Amino acid sequence: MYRYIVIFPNTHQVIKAELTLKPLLEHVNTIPTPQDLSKDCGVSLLIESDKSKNELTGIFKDNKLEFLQIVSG
Amino acid sequence: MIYLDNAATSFPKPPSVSEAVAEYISEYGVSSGRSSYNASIKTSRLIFDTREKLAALLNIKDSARIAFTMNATYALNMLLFGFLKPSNKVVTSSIEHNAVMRPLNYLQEKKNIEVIRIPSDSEGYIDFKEFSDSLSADISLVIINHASNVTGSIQDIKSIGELCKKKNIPLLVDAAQTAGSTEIDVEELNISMLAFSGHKGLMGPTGIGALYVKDDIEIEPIILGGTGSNSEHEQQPYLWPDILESGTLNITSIAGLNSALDFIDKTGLKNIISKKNQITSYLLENLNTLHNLIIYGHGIDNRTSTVSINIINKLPSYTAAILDKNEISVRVGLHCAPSVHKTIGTFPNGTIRISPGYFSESGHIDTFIKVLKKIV
Repeated sequence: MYRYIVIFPNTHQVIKAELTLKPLLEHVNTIPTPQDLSKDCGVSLLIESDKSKNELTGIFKDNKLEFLQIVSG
Repeated sequence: MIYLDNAATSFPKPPSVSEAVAEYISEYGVSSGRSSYNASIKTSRLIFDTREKLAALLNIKDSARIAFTMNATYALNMLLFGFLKPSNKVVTSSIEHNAVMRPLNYLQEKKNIEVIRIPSDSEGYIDFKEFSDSLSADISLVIINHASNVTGSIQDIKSIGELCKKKNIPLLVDAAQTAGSTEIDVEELNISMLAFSGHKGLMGPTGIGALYVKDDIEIEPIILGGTGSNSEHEQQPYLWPDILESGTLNITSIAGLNSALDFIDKTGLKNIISKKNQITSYLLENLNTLHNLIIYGHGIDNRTSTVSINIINKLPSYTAAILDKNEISVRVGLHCAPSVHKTIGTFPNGTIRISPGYFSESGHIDTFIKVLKKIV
């Protein structure tokens, strides 16, 4: 199981990703954005999944979800 | 009270609207987009969900291109001031509300914007030939009222949109009177920008409106400030919808609008339109039986439920005083649209405007007609 923190440009995109990904992935939760990663948006997603970073990036692109970065954590 | 002033704001609202407002205020009424605690995320989801419901209703592909405003007037001002550049040329009609006329006249005077006004006939429909001829290559924008708040006439936006598309001119539609009262498909109608209120046909609370801007159109913000995004920068972020949503939104009214959109979805927009058409037909049939009365606007086709009348040789304010005494609520005068009244020949006294809504009943019309008969 991998852990990823996904950073978004704004809250609209966080909620869009959260609602889109929850039916697709097991563990998708909102968390405060770690300040050492970004000051762009106060909320990020913590995703715990067996998908690789490339697979996860593919899911974001397939679902037209905008994000700034996916950080393995 | 018999309320026949739904063109101003719908009343009553679906009962679930006040429940949603009360639930937001009493159970999780916090700000959105700035924090990660549960109530704040719940509020952010509510706002996102409301945008998605509006997008579904209006066939908008990306709900991020919808920004909430205080009302349709704010939306129109934000679009006109944010889109037009000095020396641009704009085509509009003679049946616009002051929410369009006043910003355009101001821009004409202060920013050297040229405004071409297309005349309309006595029913409130624009002269299509003149409109078509006016669309020269140097026109930057067409702005048209979807339906008049005086005559109720619904413009042929499909034909207007097709012409604008052919000439590659963005079309801005003022849908204050039509959102939730007629079907609007921004793709099919070639609408580049849309402004509407949330409290009229959409049956939400007052204090909420919205605008839509197609993704190939750039808008400059006229109100700048905190958005909860890009917070380390002191410049406005060019992200949608943040670019046009500085400061805390009217989440209380968004909660109510969300519930109203559920009501529209559950009831079916077609059924809502059909019920309003039925009550408007009933009103028109009854008005037609009275003498000494002028009915403005069109028959039952291509119209909203807004009907304007005058009693020959009697000022609208005289009629209003008697209707008020009988607890019948209508609106008389110029309806913030002097240009429309000049077009239909009712300036400066205006008309008596009767606008039933989804919850109006035939009994309300019967009582209104009974009182009107005595005045006539």
